[in-house]
Amino acid sequence: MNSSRRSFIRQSAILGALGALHAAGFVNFPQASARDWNTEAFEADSLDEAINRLTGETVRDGAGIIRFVAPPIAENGAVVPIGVRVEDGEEIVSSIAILCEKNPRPLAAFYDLHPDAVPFIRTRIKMRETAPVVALVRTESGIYRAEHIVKVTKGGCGG
Amino acid sequence: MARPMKVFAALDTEGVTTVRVLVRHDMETGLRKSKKDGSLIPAHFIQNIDVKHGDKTVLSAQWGAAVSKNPSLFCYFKGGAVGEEVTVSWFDNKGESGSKTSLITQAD
Repeated sequence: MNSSRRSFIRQSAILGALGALHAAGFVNFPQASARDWNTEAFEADSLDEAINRLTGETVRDGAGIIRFVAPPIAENGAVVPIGVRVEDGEEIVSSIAILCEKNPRPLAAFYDLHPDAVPFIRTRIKMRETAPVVALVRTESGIYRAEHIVKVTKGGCGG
Repeated sequence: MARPMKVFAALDTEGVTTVRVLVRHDMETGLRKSKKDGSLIPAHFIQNIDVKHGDKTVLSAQWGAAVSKNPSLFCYFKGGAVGEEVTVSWFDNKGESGSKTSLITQAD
């Protein structure tokens, strides 16, 4: 486990500690969980804020190394398959985050990867409307970002 | 409360094990309103899901409520062998959890 990975997850560790305090009744902190869950980043209500809370450092253009496996058009915003793959390289990918710009809470999923994991993740997410889906990838040399626009013809947040 | 869950793990000829996970879960965002009385339906979603190969955690995920209902997850790792165990465990924001172990099979 390298140090850059540690700094990326440090925030969630701190939040985890706050969650424990909340459980003991000391701090009024929503969604307290004993496990690592980055409350601050998941509850951010804008894309930029979520990215700031998640990374806290310079994010570079990753269009050349990040590949999306996702449709250009989704008929049903409630179930949009999103795959994010990092092109084979020499660097180890330690985490992948998936965000959707126009969702009420942009951060959808965050994955910590073991060095034996292939840097490829597929999940289905909800999308409120047509928007860029953003992938953030942490490698040994920094954080990279790429996006892929999905056109949504029926939003995924309605009742 | 037990929620149905499926875990498939298959090793291909390149030495990569594909793990496919399905969990039956509502993944309520907390932003939807009840059709009966218009009140907000409380958030109820999986926050953590971990994939282990033996004792080694190959993937540790944090999910928000934007992950779709009845979530599916695909991940891939190297170093697996046919017959070895893959265990997937999840935990939601209301303290529910589930876990399932499957053996790695040879991919078709």
